[in-house]
Amino acid sequence: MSNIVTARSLAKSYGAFDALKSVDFSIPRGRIVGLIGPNGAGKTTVLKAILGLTTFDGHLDVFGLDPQKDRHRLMQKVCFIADVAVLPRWLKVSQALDFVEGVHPRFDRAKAERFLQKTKINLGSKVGHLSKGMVTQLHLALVLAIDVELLVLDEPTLGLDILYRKEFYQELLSEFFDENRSIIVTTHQVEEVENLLTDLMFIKDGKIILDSSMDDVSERFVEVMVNKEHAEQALSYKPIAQREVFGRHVFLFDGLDHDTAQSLGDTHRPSISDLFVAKMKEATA
Amino acid sequence: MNVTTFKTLVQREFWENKSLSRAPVIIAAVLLFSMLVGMFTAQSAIFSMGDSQIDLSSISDVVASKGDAELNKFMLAYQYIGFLSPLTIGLIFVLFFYALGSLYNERRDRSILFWKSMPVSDTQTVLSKVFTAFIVAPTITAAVAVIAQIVGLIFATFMVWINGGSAWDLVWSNSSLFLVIFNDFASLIILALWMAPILGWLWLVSAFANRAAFLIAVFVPLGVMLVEALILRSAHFANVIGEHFGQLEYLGESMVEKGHPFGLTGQTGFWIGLVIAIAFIAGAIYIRRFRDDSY
Repeated sequence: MSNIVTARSLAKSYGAFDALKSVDFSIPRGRIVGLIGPNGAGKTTVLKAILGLTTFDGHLDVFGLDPQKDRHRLMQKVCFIADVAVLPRWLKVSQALDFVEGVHPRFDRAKAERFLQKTKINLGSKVGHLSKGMVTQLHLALVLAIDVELLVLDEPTLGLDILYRKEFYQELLSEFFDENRSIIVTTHQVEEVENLLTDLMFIKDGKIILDSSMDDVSERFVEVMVNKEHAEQALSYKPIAQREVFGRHVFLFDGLDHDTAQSLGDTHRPSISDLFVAKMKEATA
Repeated sequence: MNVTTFKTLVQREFWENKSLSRAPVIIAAVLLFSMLVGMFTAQSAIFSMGDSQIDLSSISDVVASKGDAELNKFMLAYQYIGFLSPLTIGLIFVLFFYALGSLYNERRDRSILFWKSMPVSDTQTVLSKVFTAFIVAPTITAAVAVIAQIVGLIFATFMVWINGGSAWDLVWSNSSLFLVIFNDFASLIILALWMAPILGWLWLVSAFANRAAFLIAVFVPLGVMLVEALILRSAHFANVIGEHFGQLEYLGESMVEKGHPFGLTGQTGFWIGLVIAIAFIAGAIYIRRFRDDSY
């Protein structure tokens, strides 16, 4: 499988602050990678480096290009929606279409117009007169009509109401994703993307503390609901997290074999948010 | 450089900056209106005073037989001073604020991240703004000037007709219309190029400033003058800037006296200004490339 992003000892510091401490990772084709971490962990720095929006140390290869030198060429294959990005308020919807059509060789205007027809967005409206949800819809319509191979989404649904959020990810899956394209997404709403992701990357204090496919996550991590009498025994297997639910203990194990887990109680796959909390605490300890 | 891309980028500047076209149109409308007011006043005060009506037909005959260099010069001066000069001053202000905002506003409203998600290099983006300032904006203003001058001549035609003169002899044959049209375009483009070092500085500030771009753009040069005066007891920097502004007189003077606006391009300062502008613009491109704080 070919990698579209390869980072080796990628690092970035702002003065004395190391935003990214020499990380290695790669992103293959046809994956949806969730990049998850607390604020200030380095998520945005990783994205900025990939998109050619910042300088960095180490080696980073995106589609065979160096993002620092070739951002404009890279953007033929990559598109992004940044969490703080907005379309300018003075821009008319029709002008947005004209603009992207004029500068992007892979833009399919008819496709974007089809998306827009499904919304209440009027071609003559100015962005400043649209609601926040509509602006995101417009941005998404523009981006999804571009035939790129990598889409980077930083908190794409931030500030949107739940209707728009659901729709957003549905469109993304049905209209954009296939085996040749990849998506990198960061979000605080982990539950929302839980069933979308094929890969998971946790980042904390500029380090990647988990980089694994969702299949491997299911193999490696198990959550077991243990009755009181087995609690002692469960603790001896060194769970990475534990909590109590209705008087029963719930333990999260890293690398506990399947049979042992089942002997302790009911097993299931941990949610990403529980796993995230556990890994964050572990990394601090 | 891809032509469609560049055309789109320039179009975007035009969409965003309505003042490029609105300002000259408003100025021209005001000028034409005041010309009308002036004509009505003149008509009631001079031409229609009781019995002693002035008949322009006799003057027309004189002018037609002699060919009047003075009238010709007056017409030229009127078209430049009456229409082109106010529009020129308008253009200076439009360009000032256009350059100051052009790399600053996109960072303030964060739309820079949308622009940067497109396959357009920072060099292309900045050059589209430079092209807009040096070519598009002066051309729009010049086109408005030409229309205003022609409407002005038509107003004058009616005035002459009402008072029995020959509009051809008194207005059109002495209007040097084609020369005026050429000079409108040429002088405004030269003016924009004369502004190049100032615009370059504004672009640099616009790419660099996090806030208060206007204050930085104005007070940094003033600060430099002050520091130089206090420490070195000299005023070289102020003199250089003063001289550059002083050169502007070559523009108007050469148009009325010599019939072309190239008096300014003969000045060394004009060309040094362009070189300085190139350095500033290169700096602005470099800063826009790796501006970290926009995201």
